[in-house]
Amino acid sequence: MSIFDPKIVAFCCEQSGVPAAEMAKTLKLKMPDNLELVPVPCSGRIETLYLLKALESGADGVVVFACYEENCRYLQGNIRLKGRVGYAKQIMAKIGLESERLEIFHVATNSGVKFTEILMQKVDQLRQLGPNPAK
Amino acid sequence: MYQTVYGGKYAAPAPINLKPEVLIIGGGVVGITIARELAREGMQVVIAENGESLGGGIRHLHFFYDRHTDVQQWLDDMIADVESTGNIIVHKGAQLKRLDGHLGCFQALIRTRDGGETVLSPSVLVLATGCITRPSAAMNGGDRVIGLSEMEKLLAGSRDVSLAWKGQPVKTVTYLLDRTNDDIKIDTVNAVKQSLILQEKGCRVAVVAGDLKVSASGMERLYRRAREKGVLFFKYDEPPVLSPTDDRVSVELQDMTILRKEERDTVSLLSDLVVTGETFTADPTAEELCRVIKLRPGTSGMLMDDNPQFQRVLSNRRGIFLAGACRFPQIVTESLSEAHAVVQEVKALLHPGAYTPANPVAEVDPRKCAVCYTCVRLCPHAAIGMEKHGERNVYAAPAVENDGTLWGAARIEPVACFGCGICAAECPARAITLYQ
Ligand code: SF4
Ligand code: SF4
Repeated sequence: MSIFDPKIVAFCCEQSGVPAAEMAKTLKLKMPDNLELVPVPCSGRIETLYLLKALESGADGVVVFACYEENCRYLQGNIRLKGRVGYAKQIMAKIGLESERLEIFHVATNSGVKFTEILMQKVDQLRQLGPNPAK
Repeated sequence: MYQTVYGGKYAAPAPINLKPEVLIIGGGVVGITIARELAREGMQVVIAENGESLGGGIRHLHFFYDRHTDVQQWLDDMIADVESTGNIIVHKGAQLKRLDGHLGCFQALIRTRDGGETVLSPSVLVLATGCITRPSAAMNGGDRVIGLSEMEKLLAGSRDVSLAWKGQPVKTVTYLLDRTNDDIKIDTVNAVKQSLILQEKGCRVAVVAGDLKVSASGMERLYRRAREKGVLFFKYDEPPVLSPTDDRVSVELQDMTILRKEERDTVSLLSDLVVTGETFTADPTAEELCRVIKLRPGTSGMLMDDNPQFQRVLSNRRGIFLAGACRFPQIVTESLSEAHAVVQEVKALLHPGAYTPANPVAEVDPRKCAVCYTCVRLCPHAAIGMEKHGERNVYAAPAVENDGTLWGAARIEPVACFGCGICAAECPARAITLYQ
């Protein structure tokens, strides 16, 4: 039996996540195979629905790469995001999804290594959780 | 497969004309510097100063740490220059009461104390309201403990005579600097600068500080010179104790040169005068100003927090700049370089004569807007307002098509929008699209 290869959808803020992903690519760091990067202008652009839809339509885990708090180019985008992720997690709890399937990570533009580390850790974590039952 | 909806039809917003007119709030050294340089570029500048005269906080300063110019003389020369320049208008005792519009077409209502009102329409606004200096937490040392500004005044008043405090000669002075924010260098700079002047007058000077902050240009040199001239520097871990004796104050502190804590002796510095550091708070009008201008106040009541994504002089609204101590308490050299930065920014913005919104820009579909004000509250850049411009929309019941009734709807000003998409994500009616 082939090992389970979880699908990860990563929303990346264009101020931090996208440059970090580019850096990881330049450094040729190991990235998960089954990964979809979704660039957004600011993590505050991500609606609650986007997060849930991603899980519904096939992702085993969703991560959001946002800037550190107080570093937001738009002042409070990442704080708005935090609220929405909290709300999405409430809904996930109600329908019986593990909260580990959705997580925010704060990165800076130069966090290429951290970016891949986070994703590889997420892959391990999701392997243990198994496939997303809701997809 | 799932995809974000950003992208779509692109309706290029029209460019907006920029007149070379600038309104500066605050006529301190920063405001004056900016006004002079912009006026030299041929711009129309208006300064609205809250006080009755120009100058602001620098009136308490008499000596520069890095040059020999007399501060007040230098300031008066600048003020005379400003007041005689044709394209600078100064309103004294004036406050900004209302601000509408956005970059290129602000509408600012200025009210002077005598009740006069002026409406201006500057393209760009610069805030330079400064901060307020207060004596630091009352140290129990009686009337021989003074603040740095008081010492500055004393020194300025006795340039050629020997120093005296309340009629008695001053021979020994101890500076006691408390621990403040790492970035605030004012205390260290003033203490070292004054101690050199005192040393020349033949006083014995000691500086007692938790940390000295010498990260300003030329400060390390000044510190070394002070040491060479015989100023004593002491570091403390636990705050020194002040105990007044009959005619002096004794500053008692642990001798930090001994490494083991138990073996440390107490050193006491008998001083005629003890000079303490000061604290800085935002100008009392700052809060009101933030409300009027829709700026986001910083955590300590100052204007704007430090944010690595913003250059120091930018604010959360396009076309509004900040400089000087209203952002952060700082020394004159730093304020002046911020003033120059603002001048560069304003010149770069106004020089092309027009501004074309370039970012991804959000747009409201007025037919879908439910007038819930969510986006208006959440936009961090104050780019959204309410306007009567939609035709009747889906929320107007019963829906009558084309009956000409106007319906209020949110409108995003493309010039002011930064394109973050926060509003698009939160609109409950999904009436906002972010175009790229
Ligand atoms: S959030 Fe949406 S519905 Fe509410 S006022 Fe703004 S555009 Fe209209
Ligand atoms: S995209 Fe951001 S800046 Fe533009 S109107 Fe919406 S919330 Fe304001």
